[in-house]
Amino acid sequence: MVAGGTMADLAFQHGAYMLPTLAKKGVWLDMVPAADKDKHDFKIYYQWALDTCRLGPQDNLVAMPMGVHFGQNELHWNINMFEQMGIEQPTNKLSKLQLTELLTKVQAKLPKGSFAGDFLFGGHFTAEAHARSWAAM
Amino acid sequence: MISPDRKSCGFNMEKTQAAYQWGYDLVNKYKLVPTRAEVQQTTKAMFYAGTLATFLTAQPTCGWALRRP
Repeated sequence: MVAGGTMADLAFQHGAYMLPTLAKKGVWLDMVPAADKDKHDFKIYYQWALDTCRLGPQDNLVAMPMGVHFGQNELHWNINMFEQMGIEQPTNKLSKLQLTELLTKVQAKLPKGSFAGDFLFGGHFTAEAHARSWAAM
Repeated sequence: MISPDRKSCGFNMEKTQAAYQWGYDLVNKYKLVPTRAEVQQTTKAMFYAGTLATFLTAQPTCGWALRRP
């Protein structure tokens, strides 16, 4: 929508991918002028929540935080792949080091372009936020 | 992660930083996790296509970012 010039005025999103990526390109408006105009009280937010949304070109505030994810995580794995490789499957008793070693075994048996894991943390421990795009100008 | 009085969070705790460092190392040091540039469509799509052996997801348990929701 951004590339096509049909971006919505307001976007709800997670703080892991689209928000920071497009923020550095100047897609999102600085929220402070509009907030000041409405005499919005920033004290209602946790400071750390606000800071996660300071993602603009000059670290300006590009979104208003709404919620944060702190839910439990689940590890999924391809049982057939592990069996075909002859590698033991993960358990909930593994330490970070043991899981890293297990994934290293898997990676060694994968073709180029394939990967043992997906732990893009930003996708899971993140803020939900509302941002205004240039279309709102 | 968030203190019982909801006045502080644990992002600066040593254990939290170690966990994030581990996540960073999985991508950049051990090369076990694709970078964003290496992700083909989505990691979930890669998992179903058989080019990703494991993936992590989360129950969307959410908390408010507002002191007074």
